[in-house]
Amino acid sequence: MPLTRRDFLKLSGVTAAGAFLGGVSFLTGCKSMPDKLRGTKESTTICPFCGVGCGLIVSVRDGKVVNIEGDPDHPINQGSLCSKGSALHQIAVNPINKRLTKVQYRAPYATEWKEIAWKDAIAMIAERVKKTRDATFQQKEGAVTVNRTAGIASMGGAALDSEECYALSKMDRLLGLTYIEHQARI
Amino acid sequence: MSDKAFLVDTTKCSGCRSCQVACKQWNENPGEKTEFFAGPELTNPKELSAITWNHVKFFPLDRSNPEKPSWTIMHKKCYHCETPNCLRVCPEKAISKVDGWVVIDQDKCIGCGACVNECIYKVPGVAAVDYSAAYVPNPGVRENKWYERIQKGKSHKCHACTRNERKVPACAFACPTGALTYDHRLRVIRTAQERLAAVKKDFPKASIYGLKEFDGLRVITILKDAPEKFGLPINPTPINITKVEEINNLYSFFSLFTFGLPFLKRTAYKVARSMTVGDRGLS
Amino acid sequence: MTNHWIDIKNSDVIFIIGSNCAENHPISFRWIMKAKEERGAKIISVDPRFTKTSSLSDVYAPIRPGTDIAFLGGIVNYALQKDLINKEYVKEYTNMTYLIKPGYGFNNGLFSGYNAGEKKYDGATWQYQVDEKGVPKKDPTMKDPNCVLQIMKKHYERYTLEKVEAITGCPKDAFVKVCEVFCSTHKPDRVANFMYAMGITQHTVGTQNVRLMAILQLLMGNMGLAGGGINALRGESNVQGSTDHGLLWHLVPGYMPVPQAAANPTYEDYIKKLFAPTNDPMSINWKKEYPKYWVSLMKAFYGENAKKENNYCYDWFPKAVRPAPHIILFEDMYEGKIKGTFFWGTNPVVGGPNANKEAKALEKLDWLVAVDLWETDSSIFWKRPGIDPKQIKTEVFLLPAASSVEKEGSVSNSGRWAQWRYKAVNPPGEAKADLDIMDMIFRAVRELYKKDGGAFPDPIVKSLWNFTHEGEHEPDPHMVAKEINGYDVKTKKQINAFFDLKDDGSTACGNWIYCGSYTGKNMMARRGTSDPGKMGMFPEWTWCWPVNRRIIYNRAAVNRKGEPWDPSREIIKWNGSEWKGDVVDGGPKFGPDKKNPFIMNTEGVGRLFAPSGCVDGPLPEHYEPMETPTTNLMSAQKLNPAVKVLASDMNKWGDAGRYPFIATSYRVVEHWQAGAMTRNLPWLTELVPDMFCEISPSLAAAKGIKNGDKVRIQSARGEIGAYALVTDRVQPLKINGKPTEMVGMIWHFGHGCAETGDSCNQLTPAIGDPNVMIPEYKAFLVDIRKA
Repeated sequence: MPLTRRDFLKLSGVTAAGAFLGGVSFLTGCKSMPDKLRGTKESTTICPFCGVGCGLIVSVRDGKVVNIEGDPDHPINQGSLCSKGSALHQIAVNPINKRLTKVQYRAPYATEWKEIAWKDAIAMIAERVKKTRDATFQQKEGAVTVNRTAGIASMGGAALDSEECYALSKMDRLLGLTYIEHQARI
Repeated sequence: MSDKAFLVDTTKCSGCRSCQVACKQWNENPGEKTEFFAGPELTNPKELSAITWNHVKFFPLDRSNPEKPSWTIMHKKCYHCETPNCLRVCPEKAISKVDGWVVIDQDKCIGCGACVNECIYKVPGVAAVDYSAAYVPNPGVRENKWYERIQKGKSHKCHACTRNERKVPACAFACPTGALTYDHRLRVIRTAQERLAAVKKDFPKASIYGLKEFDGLRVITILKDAPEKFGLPINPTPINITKVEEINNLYSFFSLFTFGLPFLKRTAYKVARSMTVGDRGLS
Repeated sequence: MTNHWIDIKNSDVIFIIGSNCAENHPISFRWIMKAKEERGAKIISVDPRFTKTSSLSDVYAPIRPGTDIAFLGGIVNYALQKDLINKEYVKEYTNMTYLIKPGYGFNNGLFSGYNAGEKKYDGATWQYQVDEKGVPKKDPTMKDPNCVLQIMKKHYERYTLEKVEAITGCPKDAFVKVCEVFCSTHKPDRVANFMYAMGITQHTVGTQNVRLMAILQLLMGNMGLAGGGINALRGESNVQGSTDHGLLWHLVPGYMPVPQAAANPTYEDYIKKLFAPTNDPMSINWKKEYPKYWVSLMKAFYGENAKKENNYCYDWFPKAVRPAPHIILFEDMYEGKIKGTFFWGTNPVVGGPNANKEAKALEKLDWLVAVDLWETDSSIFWKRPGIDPKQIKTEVFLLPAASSVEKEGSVSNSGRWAQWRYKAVNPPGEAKADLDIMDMIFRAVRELYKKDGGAFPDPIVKSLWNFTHEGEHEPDPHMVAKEINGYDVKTKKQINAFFDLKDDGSTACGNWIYCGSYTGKNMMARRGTSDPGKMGMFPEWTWCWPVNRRIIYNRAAVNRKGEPWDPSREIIKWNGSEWKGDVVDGGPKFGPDKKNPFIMNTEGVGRLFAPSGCVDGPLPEHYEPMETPTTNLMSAQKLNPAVKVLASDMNKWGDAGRYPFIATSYRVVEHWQAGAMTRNLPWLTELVPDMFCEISPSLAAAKGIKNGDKVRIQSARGEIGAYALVTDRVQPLKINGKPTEMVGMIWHFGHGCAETGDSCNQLTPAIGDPNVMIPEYKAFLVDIRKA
C-alpha cells in the first residue's frame, strides 16, 4: 500500500493539532473521547459513483470499515467529496443490512428466493449457458462463418473494475455472444 | 483558547449536501426518516436535530432581478456564539466552551430542553428515541463508547469535531466548492469582507452575518441579501441573565430532592422555570 | 473528455449544456470555481430548469428540451456572420477550406442522397472533391460555393435570432448574451470548454448535438488546448473503462469495430475496413495502425491458436447478428429471441426506456443471472407491483457481489485516468468480486465443453483464460491488467507502449489504448503529485490513456510553427527539433508543420463538415423530438429523417392533444443512476426519500396542484405516481408563440430497494438516435393531474 502514514495524518490532522493532543485540551464539561482512527489501517480507493474519479481513504479496524473520507492528496478532489461519496461508508457497512451475503435462487414460478450454495449455483448456471448456447448457436449465415450465440445477452459493466470489464468482454466473445451492452447509452 | 471559525459562503454553495452527510459519517449519526421534502425547496429534514448537526437550507428562487435569478442555498450548523444562550440557561452546567466551541456534555445533560428553547437559531435537539440501539454501524468497534452517545433524553448538536481530534472538521473538509471553510477567526472575517466586496457586483444587497451577534459567532456567513431574508435576526437580544439565575437557584434547591433521576430533574426544572417566569420567554 | 477534470481551471468560458454538473459531477465545481476566482472565467448554463449549476453561473439561458441544435446552430450563425472565428486555426486545422462534391445539397430538411423508403442516406455526394492522387481539394480563399465555409454559412444563416427564440423558447437577450460570451474565445488567448452529459446525447439527434459542440470549438480554435475541448461528463465511475473495453455490441476493446457478417465476411474485408487509406502527405491517419492492435487482441484472446494461416482466428470471433444496441436488445428479448441474460451490476427495469416493456421482456427469458450488491428492481422483476410471480417462468440467480472497497482493480474516470484501487476489507458473507464470479462461470462452462463437447467448443476450450496463479483458486486482477497492457508472446515481457505492437502475431495485447498501463510496474497505482507548468496535468498521478497523454488532440494546441496559441496555456511546444511537455499526439517524430493534428481522421483535420461518420447528415440540422408539442420551424421534416421507428405493440407514441406537456428526466446529487446504490443508504434517502417531479407554479395552479401533493403523470406508455415539487426554477417557455409547460422528473426510483417509488422510465420512449441508438429520454410528452 503506497499511502504513507504521513499522508494520512493530513486528514486526521493529528500532526498539526497540538492543542488537541494529550487529553489536556478539553475544558470543563467534556471528557476525552477515543481517537476514532487510532490503530486503523488505511488504504486508498476511488469513488464508485460518478465519472469524476475522486480519491478516498478507507480506514479499517479489526476487518471493519470505520471511516471513509476524501483523500487529501488526490489532485482532483483534494479531500473533498459530494454527498454520495461521503455516504460510501454505508455501502461497505450497510446499516439496514441490505447487502447480499448468500446466493439467491428463484425457481420458475416461485414466489420467493431460496438461498443456495455457490457450488450449486455455478454448476446450474454453467449448465444453462451450455444448453442455451448449444441450442441457439449459429455457425454460418449464408456462406459467411459467424460462430455466434444469439440466445444469450450480457448487460452491464459500468460499475465493474476495468479488469473485470476486459475479462467480461473476453468471456462474452469466447462464448460467442453478440448481444453485449452496458450503460453508456442509458 | 482556539481562535478558529467557519466561513459559510452562500455565493459558492452548489447544494451538494456533502457537509450534511460527512458530518453524519464522521460522527456516525443515523439518517433521518423523511417523506418528500420538508421544504422550502429541496431542504430535508426540516431543521437541525439531535442527529442532524449540519443542515443545508434551500430558499425559494428569487427572480426579482430577471437577468440574474438568485437561489440561496445555505449551510447551517451551531453558530457557536461567543456568549451563548444555551450555555447560560443550562441548569446542569452541561454546556461549556471547549477551545471556544460550545459543547454539550451528555453525561450531565438531563434533557430538560432549556437549551433547545433558548437557542434562537434552533440548533440543539433532545433525542426523542434511543438511536444507539437502533443504529450500530460497526458492531466490531462497540468498545468505542461514542457510538452510543445519541441516547434518548439527551441534547445533541455540532461540537465542531472537538470530540475526535482533527485539523479540519469533517463538514469543511468535505466541501468541494469552498462554500464552507475553516480558518482562524480573524482571517475568516477578513476573507469574508474581501469576498463581500467582490460579490456585491452580482448581489448588491449582499451581507455578512455573525460578526456581532451574541458577541460574535464562530460561523460567519456571506449572504446574497440581507440576513433577515434567510431567517437570521440582526443583533438579537441575549437572554436575561438575572431571570436565568433565579430559575437556576430555585432549580438547585429542588434538585436536592430528585435523587439524580433525570425524569425528576426535568420536572424540577420545569417547575422552577414556571414559578419564575411563567410561560414568558427569557429575553 | 478530450481534456480532464482539473483542466477546467484553465478555461475562460465554461459552457455547460445538457449537464447539471453541480448536481451530477459535484467535484467539477471545485475547478469551475477556481477558474471563476483565478481567471475570472464566465460560466454559461443552458438548461430547461434553473438548476444548481445555473445558480453558480454568470449567464443562464433556458431552453426547451430537444432543441440544442437550434440553439447551438444559432451560435454558429452568430459567429460566422460576425466573423468571430479563429481564422488561422480553422484554415490550418479544420476542413473549412475543403471542397465538397458539387452534387451535395440540402433542401427543406433533407440532405442529398436520401432514400425515403429505407429512411437512409447515401453519402456519396457528401464527399470531398479530390485531385488525381486522391487528396482533397481546397480553396484557401474560401470563396468557392462548394467549400465548407460557404456551405456552412448557407446552412446556418437560416438559424436566425428569431428562429432560435421561437424554437428553443430562450429569450433573444439571453441567447445573444451566450453568443457574446462564448464567441469571445475566438481570440487565441481565450479558451472555452464545453461540458455536457446526457442532456445533450439522449435525443434522436444526440450524435449531431455533440458534433455541433465540436464544430463550435473548432471554429473558436478551442480543441486541443488546455482549458478547451469537448468534455463528456461520464455518469458512472467506470463507464469510460467499460466502453474502452468493448462491452458494447459494436466495439471490441480499444474502439475497433466488431466484425459484422454482411460488411466483413472475410478477414480481408475486415482488415481493409479497419483503416481508410489516404494519400494525403499531411495526414498521420492513425487508424492505419489498427491491424497491429487487432492481431495483438486476437493473440490475447486465442493465444497460440491465433496464427497467420488461420487469419488469427478471425472465424472464431462472433459476428454480430444485426445492430443490437440497448433498445434492439430488449426488442429482441421481448420477442423471445433471447433465452438467457447476464446482468453485471445493471438495473434496466429502472434505467431502460419504456421500462414497462423492459420488465415484460424479462418475463420471456428462460434464465437470468444478476450479479449485484443487493436486490435490484431488475432482479426482482418477477415480484414487481401488480405481477403474480406464479405466472412467471424465468429462473433467476442473484449472485452477491463485492463492493468497490472489497476488491482490487482499476477504474477509468471521464478524463481517461485509469486509477487503481485497493481492497480494504473482505466482502460480506459469501459475496465475491465480479471477476471471481465470471472466472468461476467461465471455467465451469469450459469444463462442461471439455467433458461433453457441444456447438463449436474451440473458442471455449482452447482460448487463453488464465488469470489465476499456480496453486491458487481466485483470479488476480493484476494478471488481467498485465494481459490488457500486452506482452511479447515469446519472452512474456510486458510491452511499454502501443508503438511496439506488431501485426505478425509476436505480441499480445488485450487493449491497445491501455498499452503502457502495466509495464514493469503498475502505472495506474502511481501517486506522484508533481505538476510541471502548474497546468494541473499531474503526469505522474496514476496513468491515462493513450500513452499517458493528458489532453488529446494536443497537436492543435500550437500553431504550425509549434508555438502555443496562448503562451500562458502552454502544454506542449515544438522547439524546432523536438516536442516538449505533454505526450504529443501522433508520435514525436513529426513537427507541427509536417502533419495535421487530428490524427484519427483520414484527412487529419477537424471535420466542420463530415463527409462520413454520421448516418444522418454531414451537418447538424434541427429536427423535433419524436414527441413534440410543436411543428418544425426549420423544415418540413418533423423527426430526424434517418431515425427508424420500431413497430411493436408496446411502443406507443403520444401527441400534444392528449399529452400537452414536455417531459424530461434528470438526476439529483443524492442519488445515483437507477438508485440501487443509493436508495439503500439512509444518509442519502434522508435527503431525497421519494420519487418527485418539478413543475412551475403556473402549471401547478392550472392543475390545482400544491407543493408536496401526490400527482399522477401519464405518457402514451404508462402512468406513474410522484410527489410534486412546485418551484419557480421551472417556468413555462414561449414556443412558437405559445407558452409551453414542462414536467421534469428524476429517474432514480423503482420498487426494489429500501426506498421505493415509480420509475420515470415507465414513461420514456424507446426510440433512438440513428447513429448509436441512444434513447430519447430527455424530451417526450406527458399529462399530469393531482392524485
